[in-house]
Amino acid sequence: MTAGSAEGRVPPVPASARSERLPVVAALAVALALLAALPFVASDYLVVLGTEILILALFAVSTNLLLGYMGYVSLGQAAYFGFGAYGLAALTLLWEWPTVPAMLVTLAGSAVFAIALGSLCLRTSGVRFLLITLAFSQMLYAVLVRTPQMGGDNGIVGIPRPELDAWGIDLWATVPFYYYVLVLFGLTLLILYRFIKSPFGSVIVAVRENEMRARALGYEVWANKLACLTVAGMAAALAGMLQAQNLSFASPELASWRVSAEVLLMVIIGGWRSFLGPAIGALVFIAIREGLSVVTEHYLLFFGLFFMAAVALFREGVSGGLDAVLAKVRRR
Amino acid sequence: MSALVVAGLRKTFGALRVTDGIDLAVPEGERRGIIGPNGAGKTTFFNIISGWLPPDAGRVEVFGRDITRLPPAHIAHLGVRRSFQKSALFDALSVEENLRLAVQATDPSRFDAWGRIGRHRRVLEAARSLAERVGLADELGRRAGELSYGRKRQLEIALALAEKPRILLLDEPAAGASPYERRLLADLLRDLPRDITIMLVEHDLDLVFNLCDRISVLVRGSVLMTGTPEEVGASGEVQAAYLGTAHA
Ligand SMILES: Nc1ncnc2c1ncn2[C@@H]1O[C@H](COP(=O)(O)OP(=O)(O)OP(=O)(O)O)[C@@H](O)[C@H]1O
Ligand SMILES: [Mg+2]
Repeated sequence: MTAGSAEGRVPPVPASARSERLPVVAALAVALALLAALPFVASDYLVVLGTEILILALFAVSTNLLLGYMGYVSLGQAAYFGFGAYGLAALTLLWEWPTVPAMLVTLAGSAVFAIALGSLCLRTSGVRFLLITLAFSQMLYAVLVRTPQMGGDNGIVGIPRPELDAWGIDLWATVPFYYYVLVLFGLTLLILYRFIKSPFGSVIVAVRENEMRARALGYEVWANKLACLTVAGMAAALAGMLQAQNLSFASPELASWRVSAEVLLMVIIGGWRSFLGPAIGALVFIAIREGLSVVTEHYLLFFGLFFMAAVALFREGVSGGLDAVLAKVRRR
Repeated sequence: MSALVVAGLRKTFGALRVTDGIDLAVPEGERRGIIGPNGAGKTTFFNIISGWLPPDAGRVEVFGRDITRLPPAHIAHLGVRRSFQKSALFDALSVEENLRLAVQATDPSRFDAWGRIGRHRRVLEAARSLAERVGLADELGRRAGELSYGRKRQLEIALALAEKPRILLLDEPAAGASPYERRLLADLLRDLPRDITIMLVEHDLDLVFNLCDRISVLVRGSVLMTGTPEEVGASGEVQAAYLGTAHA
């Protein structure tokens, strides 16, 4: 058409790489700012709930690396959640380690645990992957139930929180603990995001789309898959540690298949096609539990109904539905 | 030096001898056509060379190096790239992302687990110039799964062309293409650098006879004959075994 158009035709940076990155980073920044303001406007009760939502949101976002990005359905993510809780409990309560080193070592241990488990589980895919992850997490559950030193099926109380008295911070108070969780939440999400959007991480999506082609191109996909599973497992273990500190209690229930299933529900409700969608799922999950548990103890039943409605209405979860609504509004 | 040497290759599926003693040597830079009736074992032959199927017996050598039983990704890194008879694309990803992943597969940036994709400019630029070369520049933002059939085939071939392969295995690239798309494809293949060794499996005999230096005829898992297009075209044996039956 015009003479100048031929020259300017190939833009230097692909629009696709940019347009996807900005909204997530912006959304994360805005969300973190709003979350940081929460204690100023909300009651202690809501701050306590907010803490738990952040912990479960971290768990859900990490699980989605497997479900949404890699396309592998794990029914054993609670194993890492429980590993975190019990690793911290064992090091601090049995061996009387200080809290922060215990957390770091538990995190490192969760990486080893994930690599070992992943090397076995990733030989399979599809339903067999789901079943083998379930089997391994049930094994851990059985071990925890049968370990009297850790309280057996009663669990173990008195999980410590980091000592920050030197800085004048008391993490046993509601608001400081909330900020502590928020900082770790934001930091971990940033790491997960950079990982999955990196050149190495982008291969994980290629595996979901067509593993055969990814290998034919020259990717040793096992390394990408194992790294993804390990990063997700470590984040889940961190969430498990935070949950144990939040409850100041660890029980085998944290490693049960029910927790694995709940986190999958959160991911699917929130939306597995977006990075932050699963966090919304965690919010919805807690909101329904709190709203309904006053009325009935069968809140899971209602959660299930909501789950069906969300899947039927939005196809890509609540966040996908919001996207669609926003797109409609913008078009006006 | 031979780019590819295949010796005594055998593969059976149950009682079916799909690859029945293939011996073949392809000199570097040659464009070799592989023709044969449906079920002759052409795709199986490619699957063995590219590491997807272990042979029961025999050897595959690439530039003097034994690659039998190496994993597919390793073979790809030695410069052996293939396209698939049935398109295998990253459907939910854009054309650009498909091409970028193809370029990145042999680039050191594939190990970068922290940096941004946009930082590796060379990979992005190579992906875009590949798109220009195969005529997909105006589809960069489209999802691969939404492309027309012909464009999917173009992308399928483009993925194998990324980062200059040394040996290119093309499995029926023209299958289902319109006459116009066939002409584009023929031009694209003809314009490839002459030092790329090409193995072309194709039922479109015009394409094979025009493009290839020599042709091997595969029938029931073994090589019936190898010769120039003229020799193969004139062979009564080939007429009987293949052309006669396939083009009655
Ligand atoms: N994995 C397999 N298991 C069993 N039989 C197979 C397998 N793969 C291929 N075959 C059989 O081997 C024979 C050769 O198949 P192949 O796909 O290699 O033929 P082809 O020459 O590529 O045919 P076409 O021209 O139709 O693509 C066919 O009879 C096919 O059914
Ligand atoms: Mg075939």
